[in-house]
Amino acid sequence: MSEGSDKLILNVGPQHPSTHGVLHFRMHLDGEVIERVDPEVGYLHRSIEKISESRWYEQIPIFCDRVDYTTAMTAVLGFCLAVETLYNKNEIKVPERAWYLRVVVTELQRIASHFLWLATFGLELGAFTVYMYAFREREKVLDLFEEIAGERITINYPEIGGFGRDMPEGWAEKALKFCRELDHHLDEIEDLLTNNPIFLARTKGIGAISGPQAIDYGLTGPNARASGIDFDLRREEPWGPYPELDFKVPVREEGDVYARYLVRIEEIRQAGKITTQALDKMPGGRIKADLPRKRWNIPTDFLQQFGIKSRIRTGIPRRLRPEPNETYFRMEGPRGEYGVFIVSRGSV
Amino acid sequence: MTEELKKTITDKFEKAEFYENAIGLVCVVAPEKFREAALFCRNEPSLAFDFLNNYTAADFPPERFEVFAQMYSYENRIKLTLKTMLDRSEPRVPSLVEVWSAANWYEREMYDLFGIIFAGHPDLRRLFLPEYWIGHPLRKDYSDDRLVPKPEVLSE
Repeated sequence: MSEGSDKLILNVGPQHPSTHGVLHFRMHLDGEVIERVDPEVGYLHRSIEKISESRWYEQIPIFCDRVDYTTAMTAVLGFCLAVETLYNKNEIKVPERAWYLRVVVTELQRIASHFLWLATFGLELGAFTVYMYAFREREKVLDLFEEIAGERITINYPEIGGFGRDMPEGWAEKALKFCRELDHHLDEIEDLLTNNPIFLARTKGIGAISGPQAIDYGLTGPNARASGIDFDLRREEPWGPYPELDFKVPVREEGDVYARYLVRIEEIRQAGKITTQALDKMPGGRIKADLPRKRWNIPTDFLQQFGIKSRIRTGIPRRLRPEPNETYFRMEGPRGEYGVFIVSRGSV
Repeated sequence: MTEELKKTITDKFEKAEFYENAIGLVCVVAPEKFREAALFCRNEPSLAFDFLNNYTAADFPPERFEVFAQMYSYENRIKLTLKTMLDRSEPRVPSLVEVWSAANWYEREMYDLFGIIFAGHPDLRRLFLPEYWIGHPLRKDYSDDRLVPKPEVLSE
């Protein structure tokens, strides 16, 4: 703090007790007004790009869940779908049932992620009841995930080509029951917030982002839609059965905190509807495609290091080995566009 | 649509080359034309690439880095990847921050992890790693023993 002025540099984070991986803000304050913020990121960076350089394609989904631990299912699935785009359509034929199950798990993940946002949002505004209600609902989704995948937070359920195991018996009924009750529980939360004068005073007109600003800074997902950008990748660049499902894309024009709140609340409702439809329409059959695995040609000079003279023909597992290609696959994650960029060079 | 798009760009940039793969249509330009081409793609009404979707690099030792800027147009609902190849011994390319604000952190990330210099970037600092870090981890020849920074640098 320099003498005779109200200018102050305040460090916020990264050791915030409520969160695991956070960022560090260096705030330049003039009295109570924040003049400039210098964010310091990278505390949660897992170097997945570097690790992936030395792994097989099948091994990489295992740590994609760490990209964002609140949307693990979407993150893992995004990578799997990106690898599938490296192949021609007829090389990996993902069964219909797997496509529908993919929709179900990503939409449930969207609900869980939005509830986490709603809970902490409420908590920081002093609305502790909202925190309890929202966490109660999120917990139900996590219970569903635990039953289907074995994990609650860092889930490794989707695989390249489908799923390793089908959903357990009775799981679909439980998920449908959750979706049926979802609207009622959201109404409970909305009763507490949507028309609450204290809540309105603290969210309306706050942090407004205009549409052109949102595009220029690369804002996507619910945040962009709250700024009047009518764009949802589930509708514009759909994968799987999304074109056959009926859902609305909520858009608001205001771009402030309140608009973002309303967009996300409506997205939870829509996600519940999509899940119900996908579970109703889900056909039977297989859950995983046959993968076009190829023999792994180990260079002879590599083998010579171990005293092996000739090329080994047996005992080496077959692996996915896409042709040299580049791909960028993007999907609508709970927090906006989730994209995976892969450059393949014809090796494992 | 693709042919029109190609024509619009080649009319302005004669040396631009095109190819297509799983990423979609890719336009390869020389590094010195990179910023100019990006600005043209954003401002030309028939293209109007207003959104920088993804902006990253890949290392191809020993000779080159490839920088990919993936653009999307909300108005025309089309996408295009702008690509340029840099000399690996002296990777330098004009910055795109003036074209899209979103490019700012992407360029800091590439500077941090690949060591690519973006000329004209307003604030070219490392994004993830501390300033005293040695080397650029996403280069293919980055070795493990340098993962720990030298103690004498740390004590400064």
